[in-house]
Amino acid sequence: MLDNMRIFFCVIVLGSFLLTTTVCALPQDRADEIRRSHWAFQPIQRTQPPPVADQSWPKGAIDRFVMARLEAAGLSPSDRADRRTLIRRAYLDLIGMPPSYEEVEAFAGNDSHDAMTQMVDRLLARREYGERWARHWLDVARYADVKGYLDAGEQRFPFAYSYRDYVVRSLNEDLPFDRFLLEQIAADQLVEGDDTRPLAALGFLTVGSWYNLFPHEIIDDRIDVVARGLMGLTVGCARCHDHKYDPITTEDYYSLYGVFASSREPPPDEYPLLAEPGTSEDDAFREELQQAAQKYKQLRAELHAKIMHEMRAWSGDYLRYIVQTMPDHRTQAQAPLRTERGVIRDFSAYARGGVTRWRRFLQSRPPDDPVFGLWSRLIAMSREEIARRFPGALAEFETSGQANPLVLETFSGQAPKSMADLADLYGELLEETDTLWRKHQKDDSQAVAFDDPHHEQLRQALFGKDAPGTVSVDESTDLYTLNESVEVRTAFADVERVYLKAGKGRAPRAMVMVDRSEPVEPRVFLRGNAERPGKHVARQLPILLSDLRTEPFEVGSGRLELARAIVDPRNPLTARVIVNRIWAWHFGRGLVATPSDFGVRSAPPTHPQLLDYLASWLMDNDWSLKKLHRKILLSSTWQQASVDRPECRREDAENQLLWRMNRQRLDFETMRDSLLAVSGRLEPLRGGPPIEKRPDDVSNSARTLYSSVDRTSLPEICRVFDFPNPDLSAPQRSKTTMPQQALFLLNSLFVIAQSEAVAARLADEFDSDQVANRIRQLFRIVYSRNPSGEELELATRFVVDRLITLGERQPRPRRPNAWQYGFGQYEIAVKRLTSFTPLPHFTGEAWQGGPEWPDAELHYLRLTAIGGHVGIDRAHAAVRRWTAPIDGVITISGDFSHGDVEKCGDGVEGWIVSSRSGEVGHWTVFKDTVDTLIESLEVASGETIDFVVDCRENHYCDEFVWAPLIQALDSDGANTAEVREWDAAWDFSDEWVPTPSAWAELAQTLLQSNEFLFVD
Amino acid sequence: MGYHPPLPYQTRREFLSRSGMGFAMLGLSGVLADSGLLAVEAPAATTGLGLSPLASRSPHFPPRARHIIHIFLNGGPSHVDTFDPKPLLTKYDGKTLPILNLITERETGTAFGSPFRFKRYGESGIPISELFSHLGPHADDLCVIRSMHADIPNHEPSLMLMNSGENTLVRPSMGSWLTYGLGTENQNLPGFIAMSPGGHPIKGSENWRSAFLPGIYEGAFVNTQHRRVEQLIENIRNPTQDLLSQRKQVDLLQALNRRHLDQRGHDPQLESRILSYEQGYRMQMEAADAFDVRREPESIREMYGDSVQSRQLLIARRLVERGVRFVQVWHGAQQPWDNHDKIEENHRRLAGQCSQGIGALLTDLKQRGLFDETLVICGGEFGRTPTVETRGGEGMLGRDHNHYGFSLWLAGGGIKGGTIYGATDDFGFTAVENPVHVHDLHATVLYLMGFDHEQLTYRYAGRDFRLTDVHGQVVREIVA
Repeated sequence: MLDNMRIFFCVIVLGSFLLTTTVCALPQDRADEIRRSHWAFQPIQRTQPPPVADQSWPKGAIDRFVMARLEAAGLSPSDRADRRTLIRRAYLDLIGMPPSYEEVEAFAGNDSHDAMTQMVDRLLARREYGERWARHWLDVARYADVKGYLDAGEQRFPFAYSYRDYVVRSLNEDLPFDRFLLEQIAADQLVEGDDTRPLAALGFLTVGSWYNLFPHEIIDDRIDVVARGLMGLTVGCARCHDHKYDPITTEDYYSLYGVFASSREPPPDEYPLLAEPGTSEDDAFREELQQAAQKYKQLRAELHAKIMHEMRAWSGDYLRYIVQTMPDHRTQAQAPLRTERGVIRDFSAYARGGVTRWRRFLQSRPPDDPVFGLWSRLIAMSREEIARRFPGALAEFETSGQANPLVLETFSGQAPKSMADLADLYGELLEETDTLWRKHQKDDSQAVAFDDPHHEQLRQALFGKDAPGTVSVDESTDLYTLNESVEVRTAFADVERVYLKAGKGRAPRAMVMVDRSEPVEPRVFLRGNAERPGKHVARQLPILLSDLRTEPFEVGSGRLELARAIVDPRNPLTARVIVNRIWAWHFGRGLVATPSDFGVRSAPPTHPQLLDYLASWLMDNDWSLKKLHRKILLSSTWQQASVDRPECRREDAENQLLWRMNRQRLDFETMRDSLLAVSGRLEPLRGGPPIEKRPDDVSNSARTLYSSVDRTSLPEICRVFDFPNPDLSAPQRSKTTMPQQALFLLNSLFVIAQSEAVAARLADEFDSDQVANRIRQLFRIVYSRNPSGEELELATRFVVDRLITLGERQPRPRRPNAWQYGFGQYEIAVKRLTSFTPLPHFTGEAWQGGPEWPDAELHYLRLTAIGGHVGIDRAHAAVRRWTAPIDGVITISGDFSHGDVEKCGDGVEGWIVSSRSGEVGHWTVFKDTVDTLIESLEVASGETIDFVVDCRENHYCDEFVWAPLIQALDSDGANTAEVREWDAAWDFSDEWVPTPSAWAELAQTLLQSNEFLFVD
Repeated sequence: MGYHPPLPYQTRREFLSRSGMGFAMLGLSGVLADSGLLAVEAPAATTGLGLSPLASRSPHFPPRARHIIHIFLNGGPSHVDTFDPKPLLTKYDGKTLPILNLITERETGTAFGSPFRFKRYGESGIPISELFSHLGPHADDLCVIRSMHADIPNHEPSLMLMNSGENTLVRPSMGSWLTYGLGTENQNLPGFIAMSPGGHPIKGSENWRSAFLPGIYEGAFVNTQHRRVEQLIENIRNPTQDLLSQRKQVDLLQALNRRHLDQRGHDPQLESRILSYEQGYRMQMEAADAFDVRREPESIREMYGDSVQSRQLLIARRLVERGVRFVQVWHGAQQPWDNHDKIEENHRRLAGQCSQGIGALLTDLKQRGLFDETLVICGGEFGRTPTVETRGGEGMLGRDHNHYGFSLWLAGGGIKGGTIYGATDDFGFTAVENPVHVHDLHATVLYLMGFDHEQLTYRYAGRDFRLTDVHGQVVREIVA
């Protein structure tokens, strides 16, 4: 599993994903022309609302822009929606939850002219506003609580949530949007004074996927989220070649690459605190954290020193190895990867960076290099020529006037026959130099150079700034072997786990990014291949934005300067992009249909002047998003009815001209939050570490925003409801309609639990038993309105029918549990289980000896939903016991398997034993799987069927899987509520099981109706 | 039911504006013209044709196969021990190869002759080792590509490449591309199903992800360790209601929904949601049926054999029979075929688990007339070295990863059976004759399914993406 090596990737992966071979770059004049002509690249115009014929409908500027286009198309806007629709629309739009019946009624009865204004202001002031709109932004920010697949280390981010909470807070405090962006790119360079909270903003850059620690991918992801997320620029295309359509070049890409490559993330113990230390951060915590961090840093430092030492002291081995990998010069069948001293850092499982550094160093030595000149001259020849031409080459090298006398001395009188011989001689000389220098340093710890210039020249080849053996701590990462790499990642994870272990008692910390002390001078990677660096580029703005600034960035990585250019009011993209996103989140569709792509291939805005008006308006109004929401919600455009008008639909089926409001299906979060809101089960959670439960877990009642977003395995329910893939910045959500969505609403425990809770509310809050009154109340809870006569009749008929069938059922316990978990001894001689002792402790996941596992007495013995582990001897066989609740014939099936990849132990033995008839089946498995099928077995009520597993000769590695399924044979499965199947795994959990009740079913029906799940 | 076919508003537009798959086939009219993106001529065609994102669609040209069963022997089975015999390797057994050992993930040493016996089968005489003797009777139906190659000798990137055509970046998987392009034939089952007993393979759900394609094109994962349909498909059964009671509930729901719709006039998204309830309701029966192999006759179950592999292969057949577009059958959690050590024992065990089932699957597909419309693909993410893996200089009796050359076989719809295509060198290290890159395999698979791989595209982040990126050549020689 620990196979994937970043190091190898650098050579081959990048080399292989040449994104294009056929594309020709945009010619320069065409690029210039696009820069001058494409609408999105032109300065934002301060447009004036156009004149319109119908003066009565428009309430403000937005409406006049919309009206003008409608009039030009011969269409008219829709009437204002009724108040009940408007309040529901406003609630779901701004806070992501529906209003209560009382709120609706109060609003419907409020005749004051500013009722709408008051309501919008009230909603914008609620905390739920930030929670709802943070989720929109987190789609753009490809937020997740998990780093993605890693082959070693900790997958969870300990502090991604501090970024999520930062977004919520910033929106609620209406932080000016330009400041919001500045902080997300460069808060580390903005924060002064005691308020460190904005540092959390840097999560925008750092919560992306870790791409299994492939550095170029991580940087690519950050370029993408900034360029596409903030400016609608698809810069990622320019990684391998100039953009096909937009005036974005590879130079632009690598300019930005330089900015992010010049930034680094400190180790987790250095994350700045965002609040007072948490409740569980006691001395022991601090001590543990400090120790883990110390261990990590020490390991890094030791490996760094070790690697530098090997690269120098083993120079001969490296030279010999390089020669033996060259088809023209090798003299052995296999290159000597393994030497007396150890392993050359080349193969992918061993890091390859070492050989590459040496190889590159040698390749760049010119023929007149004082030390390697001779090498360079000879390596250009063929193997056969070396012996013959060596004397001439040596003479030429000597007469070049540059040659180092120590090198000459080494080679004089020698007659090497191959480069391999040359490698031996060079190696000896270099290794001697290394020894000499280390001795010298021992004598004089202050020494910085040899006094003798010739020795110094040799020393430079090993210790100089450009020497292969001179690597920074960061660079040394590329030279780690597989084992070293795993060791370092594990040590890093140990630091993170100190936090994770502290749970909710840990204080938030910021996942910051800081500048490197020495910024990286970026070079273009030819065809995206990091092994093929091309020309140098400056860290600067893409040329597209050269009106803002042409000179290279000057301060550190340049992140702050980049951020300032992004929010510069003259930037033609940033303000347009955000107002378009906000528009799209309100209307379900942007004025520009592709919110993250404003390039030449995107569809032009439907209302270009309105887009510019809103963009400049936002900037003129302190970049206040709340003011923008208010402006939009108070427009006649947003307040239109959504009812169909066939005559308009014929002209503009997609409603591009906004002749009505778009009806929208609630997105996943709004749907789930609304269910919790009406069921009254919504937990008042206010940020903090994510809830590590799936959003459809019955015991998870917090707002959906707070459920952990696991990018390694997104719950199916998220996918089914169009939650975007958190590996990538999402421009907008897909809107699909799928039968799986219906199944969630029909069958999931989560929805049934909310339905029961609604039914319980009905009983608690309403004392009338009268069916019609109850139905009316139910409509009020779910739809915030009264039922019509026809609805009342339909619902009554349903409920009465179900009441007759089901009765007024009381909540019942889980289906009578037919299973018990224990241990005992199986007597082979008599084919009976001679003892059965229940296991004393249940962890929620397993029955075992006590809270600790292994337990002092029962050791590893335990039973889980799907299997377990045997006890220490044959007297401690694991026993899963089923007691027959019926008389009849059953069939038993289930895979019984043992062991994994590791080879140890001797397998396990399993029996099925009946209390009545003794042994029913017997199997032995060792690193294998068998199906324990018993086709037919007659049982009597009360009879026990034991599934016994014991250890054979030894109990090592005796973990097993065996979750038998028992089925009553006459079962027809689908159409009966009566239990005819007993599944060891399915029945294992202690999960809540619903009680069928007529009122809950009616509630569920309303909860899954289109009225509840769409907003008009 | 008298409902209109689903017409998911917005989805349709988004779908069309991003789809480069040729609009004629979609049969949509003037709607397209107003989308500034579409520089194609809008064909005259029927209007009002619904377009559920999973509705079955025709590809670019008549397909040779309609379904795919991809048997993924994850971890990397050894080609020189299965389908690519190398007598010379046996000759050199224990000695240093006369060619340079290529750089793979780990260190390898001397030549390691195959411990398995090969036998030629059928008229074509395709050699197959004893590991897959159950495939012998089908030799004349197989096309063994012996010259597959990939990019990197590590599992993660090679899994990604085999599944999505890209080693590290986030790209849609082949199954997602195909369901995006073709929809699926049975709306009551997911269109793309990935099965693995015991849990996820390495890289987990990334292997079947839809990436930037809409989420509905992502593979639905099924852990075939389980047997009950509730554990195989989420929310497939109501925990308290039986189907008849639930029908009453759905009837009430639909009555309310219809009233709601009537008040609002025409709205395709409301209509398609009403329809989705009928589909969901039916899916409960259909899915329970599809995954229940007990409904197969005894003789069929016996033919497949009695193991979890057999069970999931039989399920795969039941699924394609019901119109599921793409079924991926993984051997197991993690990477079972990754035998760095004791390859003889381990490969024997693994092949023992699946060989009979795979043979039975081919027989069964033929018996039912499904063979010609189903493309069966079987192989790993790469092969293994002909040299023995060493650790600390000591031989391990296993083989390291080898992406330079490996084998994979295809059978069924559109495949020229009884064919060996391409070759590795004398020892099996590198594909030397007619090399087939994974991109070429993808191009060929799309071709067999009726697509020009260069034209099945999706617009995202300013680019038209495709499964084969800018690569891929259809291997016409293996097409019947």
